[in-house]
Amino acid sequence: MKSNLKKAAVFAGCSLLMLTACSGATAQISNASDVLFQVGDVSVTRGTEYELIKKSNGSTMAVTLIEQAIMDEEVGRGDDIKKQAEKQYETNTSGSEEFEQSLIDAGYKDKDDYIEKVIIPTIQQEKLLDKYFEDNAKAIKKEYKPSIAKILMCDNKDDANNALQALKDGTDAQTVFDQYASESATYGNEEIVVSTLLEDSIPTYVINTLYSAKETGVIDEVMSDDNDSSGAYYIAILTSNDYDENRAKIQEDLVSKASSDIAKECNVYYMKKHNLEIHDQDIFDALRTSNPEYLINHPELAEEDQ
Amino acid sequence: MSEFLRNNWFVVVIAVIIIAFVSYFIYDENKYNVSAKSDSDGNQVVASIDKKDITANDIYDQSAPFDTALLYNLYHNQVVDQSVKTTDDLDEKAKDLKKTIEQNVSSSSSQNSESQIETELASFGYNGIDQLYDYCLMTVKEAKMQRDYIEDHFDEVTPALQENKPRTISIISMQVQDLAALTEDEQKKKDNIDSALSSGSFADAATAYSEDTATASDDGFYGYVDANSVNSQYSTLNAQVIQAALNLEKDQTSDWIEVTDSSSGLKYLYKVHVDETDIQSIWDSKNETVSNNILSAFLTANQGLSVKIVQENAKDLDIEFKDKDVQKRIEDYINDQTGGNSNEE
Repeated sequence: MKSNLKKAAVFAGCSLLMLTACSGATAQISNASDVLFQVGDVSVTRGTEYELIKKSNGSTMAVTLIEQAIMDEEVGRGDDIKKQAEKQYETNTSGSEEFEQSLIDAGYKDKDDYIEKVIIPTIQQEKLLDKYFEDNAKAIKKEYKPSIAKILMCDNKDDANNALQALKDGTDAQTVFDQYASESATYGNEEIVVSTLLEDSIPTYVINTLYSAKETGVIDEVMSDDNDSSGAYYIAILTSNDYDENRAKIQEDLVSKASSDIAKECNVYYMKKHNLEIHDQDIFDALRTSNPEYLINHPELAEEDQ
Repeated sequence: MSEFLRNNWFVVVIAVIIIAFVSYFIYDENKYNVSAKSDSDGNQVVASIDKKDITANDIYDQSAPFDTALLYNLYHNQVVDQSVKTTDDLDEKAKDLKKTIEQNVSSSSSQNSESQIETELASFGYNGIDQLYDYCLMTVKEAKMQRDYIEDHFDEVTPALQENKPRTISIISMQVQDLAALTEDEQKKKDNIDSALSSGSFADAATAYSEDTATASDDGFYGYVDANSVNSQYSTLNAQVIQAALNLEKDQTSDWIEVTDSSSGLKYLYKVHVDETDIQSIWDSKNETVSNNILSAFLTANQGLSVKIVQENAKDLDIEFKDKDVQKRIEDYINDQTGGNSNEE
């Protein structure tokens, strides 16, 4: 009995050690052993070239191909996109033959290869972003709390109260802004997209109030920011907080202010939707450093990074 | 069995605890390991979404047309490595270079500096930090290869460098509060420097008065400059001072040069002295930094010289291209870099 136990313990120990020593899979190209050239007795193979490509640019290329696959799924490569791409190429180059030669020198097969690899994906990206603002509306609204409004910043509470009363009495907005707006006010009598991206210049309370308001028009409240040492007071005139009605305007504003963040959020949304999985440890490790948010099966890695 | 458990319950409890710990350890070690996948054609998959697999072949096919520089580096590294024998001296220099790079990586504030180095190494043809020594050895071997070539073709490569007015210089600097109105102490120091320069050597005046501590301890010697140094991002000396040096002959000293540092706003007065303008003398310098600088200057002044030197050495090696497309791309790259004169003697 003791002998059996001993054997079992040794077997279990070895198994555990073997499991511990396991490392993740790495993918290799199918013709890795092809020799590209030989210098003396040293052969340089396609596999060596691939390993270096993967190390220097592999994760970026993998993300590009994943994005491409998602865009093909979500927006496709219809005739309208192809026509738009052709037109864009002609506009960009004015039909210059020198440009086509420069593409070939850079590594593209020809004009069509360039259109396929560069222009079509750019158009698809724009269309995917439009789709993202539609598909993920609920989360975008929750994150950015967008509304269309005018913001009047006053230097003191009296001015703010008077401005609010004047607006409620029907005085023209421009007249009220001229009379009561602070000289240091960031915004004048203009409709802007208010969102959480403006938290540096507009109090969070104002942003939240506009977003959750049930009716448009003057918000019947003088608002301030307890944390703002300037002591400014705010009046807001809500034009609309209907996301669907103002989607294009909201999209344009958010993208202009946070293009990189929104592009990543868009990627993450569709990577989750299409169940992205990584099967190469080197790519996984590189993404863990550069874009942990894309490792959608391990959300804790993105949280660690923040 | 039950009797066994009764008699050995404590051992069993300990065993269960150990197994639990080990199991958690194994899970923790492997939780970020990815699993392998192949597509229906047997190609190995790098990433996948529901309806599409991205294979290693896809990554290669998309990237390879644009990696001519990498292919050349792979070729270049082998030519350099096999053309220059590894001596103890080169081995020592390679180890020193490796140590310097490692120190720079460890002292870098960037958390990703090691992965950045890995990416850089890969673009030069070296697979990861484990091959850092190989990269360093190739670098010192190539420098030797280039020195040997320039030594043998000195008259051929000198005219292009001559156009850049190469020279070694020394400097004296003093900081002042207002360039237009010196304080009494500043004026006194300036007068003392003028007096020392008129009665003695520039080196003595620099040692006695220069506030540039990096050069004052070495007789004011700054090092090598040429016309390319004026706008170089690597230059540590103000462009006005370098320009003044370029306008002087050997053994001449400039008038006072007024300099305002564009980043700090601090104001300085400079004197610059030209120590040497003869290229052969500078080339023969025992100063390692000067020697390295003039080597770089030769390579910069003569377009495509570094590629041409590799090609000259490649002629003595047995090189066979198995892939004609790769051969054409490397040859086109070489011709592009050398302006098509890589085979000229």
